[in-house]
Amino acid sequence: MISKILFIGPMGAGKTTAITAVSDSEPITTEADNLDRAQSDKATTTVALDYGEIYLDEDSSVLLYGMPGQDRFDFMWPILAEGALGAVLLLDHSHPDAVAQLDHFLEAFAALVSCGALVVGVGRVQNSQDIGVYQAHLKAKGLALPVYATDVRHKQNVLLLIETLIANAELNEILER
Amino acid sequence: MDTLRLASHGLSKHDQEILSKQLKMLRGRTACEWVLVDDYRSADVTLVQGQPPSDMPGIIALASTKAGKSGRYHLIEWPIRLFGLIDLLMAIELEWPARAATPLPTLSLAHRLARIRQDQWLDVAGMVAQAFQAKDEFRTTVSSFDELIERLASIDGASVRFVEGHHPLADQEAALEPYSLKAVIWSLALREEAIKSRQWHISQQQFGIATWPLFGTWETAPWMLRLAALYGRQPATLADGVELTGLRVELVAAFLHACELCELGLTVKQSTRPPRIESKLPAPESLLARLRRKLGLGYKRT
Repeated sequence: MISKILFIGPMGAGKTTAITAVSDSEPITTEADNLDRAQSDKATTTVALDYGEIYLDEDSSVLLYGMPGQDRFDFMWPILAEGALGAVLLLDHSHPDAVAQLDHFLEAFAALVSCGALVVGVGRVQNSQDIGVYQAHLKAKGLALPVYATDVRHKQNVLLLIETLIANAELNEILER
Repeated sequence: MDTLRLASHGLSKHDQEILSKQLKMLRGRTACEWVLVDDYRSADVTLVQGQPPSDMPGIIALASTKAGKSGRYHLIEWPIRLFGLIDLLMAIELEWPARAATPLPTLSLAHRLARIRQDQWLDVAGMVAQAFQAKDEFRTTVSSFDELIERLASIDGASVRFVEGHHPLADQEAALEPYSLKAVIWSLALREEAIKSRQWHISQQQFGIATWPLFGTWETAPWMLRLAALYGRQPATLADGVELTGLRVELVAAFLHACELCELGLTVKQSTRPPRIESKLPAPESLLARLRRKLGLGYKRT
């Protein structure tokens, strides 16, 4: 039995770090020198996708996909979203267009959004009021989605994001019966 | 008990009916008895949507985008919610000349903190604290959040003294530990017996929330994630929440009460349908259950 969790978000938001925090195996990453300094000033970036795995037993595992944040890879998103348990959307609050990026990913992953299977983790926040910006934005769109302040270098933060997706998936199972 | 007459002006028939129902629901929760009258000229207070007539007597409360006061007008957020209405009525009661003879009902500390609209000092049984509503900060000399909540939860809200302006101990500000005010309200509200004070019905009212709690920053537990997923997705009854989590109804009600005090857009509407959730939690061998175990995120029904 295979399931998957997606880690999405703009370049430099911490997708590779988040997967590394919870993967049982050394994540397979496809980092290359970042030549797209307009989107992020980090030195390297994922050019194909990151791949990690949580082993449950011989036959079962949950695959962790970190999807490239650059727009030119967005053709891959619906393919990978198919059948996913949910998506962790990572944003960088220090980025001037973070709210616009939120909109971009909400639209790209509308199918997951519609069944509540998307949790937003916002990095580099100074205080809880920073999160209020995203909460208010979602509320104005009529979307009740979880938004947390997140530091993906801390495993507990990543686990909270995943546990939220599990809680939502459990609800979906019950509602679909 | 004093009786205050409330009229409306500019409200649709539908909104007038809602106001009437809300007043009935608040009966016994305010210091004065509030009755609706048809003609604003015979009212003590008039709730106005739009422009008030120039000859309107008494106290005027305007429907607005936010609560508070503007000049001589009280403002109430539109559409009117129970929480906003009781705040308005109690604010007006404080202004009412006869108020000194009428004791206000006891409010919990969480409720009183949630009503703060400006920076205030608190004298709480010898503990000094400062609440900054706009900055979402609660500063106190207590250095542990758990200890703070334990101490505050044991205090009767009515015994807390709120002080505006400069406090004699303001010089200690640098030594005060900063916490999130909402996190304090959230934790205190979770410990209150909301099911009694709110008089919510287990199966005849449906609840929804517009915004998720700030888990990770505020007190968090697995059952809260489940309830947030449920009430954030669709209107559901208290019974649905009990079925989904296996918790006592008192805890589910406390969660919703905390959502309301933290302004997460709690909605309550009447329901006649039976509970919809028939929870068969994931079998121990299901993928979700095994994923929980693997990550140390086990969930036990109580």
